[in-house]
Amino acid sequence: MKLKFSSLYSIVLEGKSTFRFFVGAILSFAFSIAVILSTIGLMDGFESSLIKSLKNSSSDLVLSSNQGFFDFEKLEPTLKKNKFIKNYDPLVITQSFAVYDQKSKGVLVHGVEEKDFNKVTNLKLKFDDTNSIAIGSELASFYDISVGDELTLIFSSTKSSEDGIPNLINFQVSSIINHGVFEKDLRFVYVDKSSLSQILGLKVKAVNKVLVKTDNDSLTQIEIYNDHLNEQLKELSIFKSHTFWSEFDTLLEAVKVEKFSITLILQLIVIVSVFNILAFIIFVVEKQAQSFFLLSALGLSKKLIINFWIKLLAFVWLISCVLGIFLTFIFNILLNTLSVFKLPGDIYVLSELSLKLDSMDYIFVFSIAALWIAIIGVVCGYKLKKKSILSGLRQEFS
Amino acid sequence: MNVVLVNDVHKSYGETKVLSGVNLSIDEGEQLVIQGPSGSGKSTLLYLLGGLDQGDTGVVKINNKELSDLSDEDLASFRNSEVGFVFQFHFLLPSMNCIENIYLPAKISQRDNDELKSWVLDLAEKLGVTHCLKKYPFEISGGEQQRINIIRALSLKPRLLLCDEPTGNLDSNNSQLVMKLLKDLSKEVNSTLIVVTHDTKIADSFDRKITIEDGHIIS
Repeated sequence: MKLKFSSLYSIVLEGKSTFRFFVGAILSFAFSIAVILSTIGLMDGFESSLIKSLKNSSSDLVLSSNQGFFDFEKLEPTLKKNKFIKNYDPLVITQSFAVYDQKSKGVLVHGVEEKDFNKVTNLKLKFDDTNSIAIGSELASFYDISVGDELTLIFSSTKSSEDGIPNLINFQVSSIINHGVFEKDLRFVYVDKSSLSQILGLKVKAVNKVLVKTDNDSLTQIEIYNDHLNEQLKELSIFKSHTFWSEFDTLLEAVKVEKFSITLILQLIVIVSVFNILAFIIFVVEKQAQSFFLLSALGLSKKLIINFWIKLLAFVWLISCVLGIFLTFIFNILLNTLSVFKLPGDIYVLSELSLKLDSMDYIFVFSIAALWIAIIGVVCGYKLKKKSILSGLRQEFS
Repeated sequence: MNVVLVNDVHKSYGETKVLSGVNLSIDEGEQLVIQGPSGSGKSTLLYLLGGLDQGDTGVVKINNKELSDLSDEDLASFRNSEVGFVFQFHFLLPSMNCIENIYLPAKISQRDNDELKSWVLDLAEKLGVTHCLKKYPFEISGGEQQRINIIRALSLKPRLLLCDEPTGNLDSNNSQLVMKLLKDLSKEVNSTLIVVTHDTKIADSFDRKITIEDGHIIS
């Protein structure tokens, strides 16, 4: 019968205080792993939710002209010759004030073709007639407005004889939509394109933006299509194509940089917990040195003792990682259920956020944790190897 | 036949010379005592023989094996199977009961068989500590602890039984008793018994005495 790992383990953890110290060291290490996982998860979750929400409320590519309004007939042949373009919807976009119950807010009015717009985005707009308006969910809650209510939009007059006189048009709310992006939910409203063109006095084919849906959902492929389309649009010189996430590019880039820097800074928390583990090991080595030197004297090789320490540290690492995942899971539940964890949407763009962690995130965090544990192991192993059994026995039993 | 052969062994701790050119040979089954004042190097010599430490120069051979040639694992195996240690302090692990403490060397080398168990029980009976086997070290007296320590040292019937002040913590009655047991039992298992002591009464009970002073064997 071999001297079992459990026997050595019971020698090391002998006494309530040692066991409590051991549990505390594991908990602090697990907590620091959970903090890093949660931070990375939040950053990844932010990036992924933002892209998902943007994609939901927009098409893959957005085409515009540097001259503002343009004749869509000039652009349509270029779009038609590209087989990767599945659908497109030319829009008229203008600024306006929405007024309801003596409250007003600046909004971006989108004049869209209901069917075409629904094909290029995942939003389900519904216009009952040409006097219908679809509004974002945050705007609806700002006004406390519901389907069927009337909302007034104020446009500047386009007639020279009415210069300076606002043009007030009443619309009936036909649908309330959720973009998933706070600012869009607060500022975007949709009306029938022909109605808006008429209000603005535009020609039938005059538009200022075109939404394009491609045959691929991959961001990389969409980027390739975007480059391809821009190559073709060079001939027309005034047009430019953008990916749907380009307006948030800087924010997404900032999140990536922030993720890296915060992960580095959070290593401080890991270092603190590593010190806890180190303190535990020093405590155990001091307290149980007598036992280990005695076992050496009785024939337990240093290699076996070092193997035991490696296994113990691996156990600490493994348990801490499992506990870290559990704590992260709890944090994710709290994030989605408790109001104190809700993000201020006007600052963070999104009103809701979930953790998103992929296998690379886990590998990254667990590898760093393993590295710290390995450093402790090497330091302790070196100290243990350096001391002779005799000096240990003499020191401990003198 | 020589079991122990020490040739021109020197040992220093930092600037302090502990052993200076020690030569010694001990036959199989011999019983001898090493005596000398505190700090003379007697315990150091004992630990060199037991493979717990190594000399700076010179040769220490046990059963024709030169200890400095052994790897860490071979040295550990040597300590486990060929040497029994009895220390001044009982060195029993407080988290284990007495029988578990006794089985430690056997468990380390996976020799925890029925033969060993019956030998251990036999020893416990001879030493009068059968009632202590299931108890924890803190539940028994100092004399009983030392006897448990002796059973552990003899459990694997070592060829060398090395005792460092084995009666240092005991009263004179217990000291005489423990020494008699050590001598009788080492004879029974044909172990070579080497005892380090500064107790002249104990030393006088041995036929062969070695005296060390300032790292030299003087007689």
